[in-house]
Amino acid sequence: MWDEQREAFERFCREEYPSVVRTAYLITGDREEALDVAQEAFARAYQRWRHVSKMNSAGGWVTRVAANLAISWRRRQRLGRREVGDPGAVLAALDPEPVGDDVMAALATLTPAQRAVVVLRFFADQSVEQTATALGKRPGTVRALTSQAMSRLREFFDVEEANDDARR
Amino acid sequence: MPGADLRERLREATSRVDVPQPNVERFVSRGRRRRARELIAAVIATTLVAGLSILTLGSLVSARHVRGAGALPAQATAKPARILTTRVGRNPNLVVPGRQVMWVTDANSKRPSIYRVDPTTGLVLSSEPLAGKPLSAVAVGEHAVVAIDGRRGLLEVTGRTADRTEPFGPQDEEPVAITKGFGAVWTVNKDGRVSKLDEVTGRELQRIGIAAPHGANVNYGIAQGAGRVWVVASSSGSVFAIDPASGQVRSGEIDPPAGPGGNASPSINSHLQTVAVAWDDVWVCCGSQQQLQRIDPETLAVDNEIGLDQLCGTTQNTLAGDGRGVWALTFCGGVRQHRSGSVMLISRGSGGPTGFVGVPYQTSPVAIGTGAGQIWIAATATSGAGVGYLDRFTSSAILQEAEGNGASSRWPLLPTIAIAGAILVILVALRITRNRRRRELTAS
Repeated sequence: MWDEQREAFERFCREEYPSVVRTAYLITGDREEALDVAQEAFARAYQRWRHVSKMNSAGGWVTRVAANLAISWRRRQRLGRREVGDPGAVLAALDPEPVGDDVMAALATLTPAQRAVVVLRFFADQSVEQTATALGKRPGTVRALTSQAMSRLREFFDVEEANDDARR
Repeated sequence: MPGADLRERLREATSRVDVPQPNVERFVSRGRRRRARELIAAVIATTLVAGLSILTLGSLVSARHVRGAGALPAQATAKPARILTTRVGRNPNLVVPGRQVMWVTDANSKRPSIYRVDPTTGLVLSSEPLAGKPLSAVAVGEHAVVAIDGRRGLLEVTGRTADRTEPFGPQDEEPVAITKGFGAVWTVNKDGRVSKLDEVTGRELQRIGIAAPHGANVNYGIAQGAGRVWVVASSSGSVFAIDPASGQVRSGEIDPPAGPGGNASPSINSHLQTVAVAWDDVWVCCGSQQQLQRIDPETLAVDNEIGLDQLCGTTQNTLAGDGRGVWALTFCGGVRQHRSGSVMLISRGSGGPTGFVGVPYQTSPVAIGTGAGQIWIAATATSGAGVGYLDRFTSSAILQEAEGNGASSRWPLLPTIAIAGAILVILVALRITRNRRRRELTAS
């Protein structure tokens, strides 16, 4: 019985771990923190494995847990940034140089909630309702956050393109 | 930027992230630790809640139930176990239930007082010092009217706040016993006369001479019931029945009850202390001989006697009557050996004890009063004095303890330790969390 459950959990980890780490990475912007968040999310899944294993989408549940943990971490970092009072240094630590992609820099301009909404909707492929449930918000709020995030990202990429054109 | 484009960009960004193989062992061990922590937290929370509940319940009301008096045969009272009281001074001598409030007087020689007690919660609402030892009291509406030893006239204690005393009725007499009934307040004065006062204004409506003996050593008892106002005087064997409407007085001689060995005691008449009436049963108490005598209300002759081991109290508050019968404070019922008292019920028309209700262990009842559907008892114990009641449904002795009035009780040890432990754990947890946050901030 226990062996079966343990095997099922291991199988679940192997299947879901990469996507959970990537989701966490997109929200935190930090690989190490993403790994830690994912570990905590899977520990919680094991803690409640009896219930989680019976869910229709156990992967969705662990992704939501990871997303919430990542948002919490992100908020704490923002709080620390305010308290420490050195935005430049903290921002650099918070969002290390993106791995060859300006999308991470674009995500860094978003608030934690906007960032989580974008990641859950466009990376984890969750619906508005699922995202709302995951983040404890109303679907209308999720739509509004999505709209604000997209507008800001659009603005960011437009400026980037203009800069590129200017460089050429 | 369309959503599809963003989706592509996100996938591309994450595809470059090196994701190691999941360390399932670590997940499992971390999950187990979390589970253990959750279990400990649940245990602590449960202990905390249980401890607080016990503390709250224990401090609000502590009840000591003894088997019902109605079902108890005489001499078979169970042994009570605890003392819990609402503290009302050191020497309570009168219990006067009123409208939604109960008055208890303290005859403490240093600071005689009257206490206003909430009968529901047992809380002492307020107290007021009195000018002397309270001899007798009645509740009139929301107020209490008190007769003070050595003082001319009655005192009225205001009901809502009990922070003021005012003269009540004529101030030229020295009342020593007081009762209320037939729409008036009745007092026996030290000169052996009875005054009928308007219960609202205190105006004297009638002064009735009853030819009772009077003097410094005479004590009186007064009660109403069976269509009469009844007066007994300690230095004579007479009982007086007063018609409340006309003021007409009838008197009867009470034969001295038989003392130990069956001989009539010549001094018995000097110890008639009090009178209580339950419907047509009129009982007088003879304190020194531990005798209760029932008087026929028509002939005024003694038609029944009850000998007791020992009556409690020597004041007018040894007896009280209500619709169920007459209640007497006594050491009878096998409780004496435990140094506790009990309350004896003489059911209406029974002619003898029908049951005993024990009060908590090592508690001696000193005064009794009926009203508000309850039988109220003032009692003394080693830890102080208190007031309580007999449960009307189970006829159990219940002495209440209230918070914040200095009542003493056994402090529950286990809940205290549990609460202290829980507070310690919470403090440690808060400290750890704060340190972790500091480390995170430092790292960032």
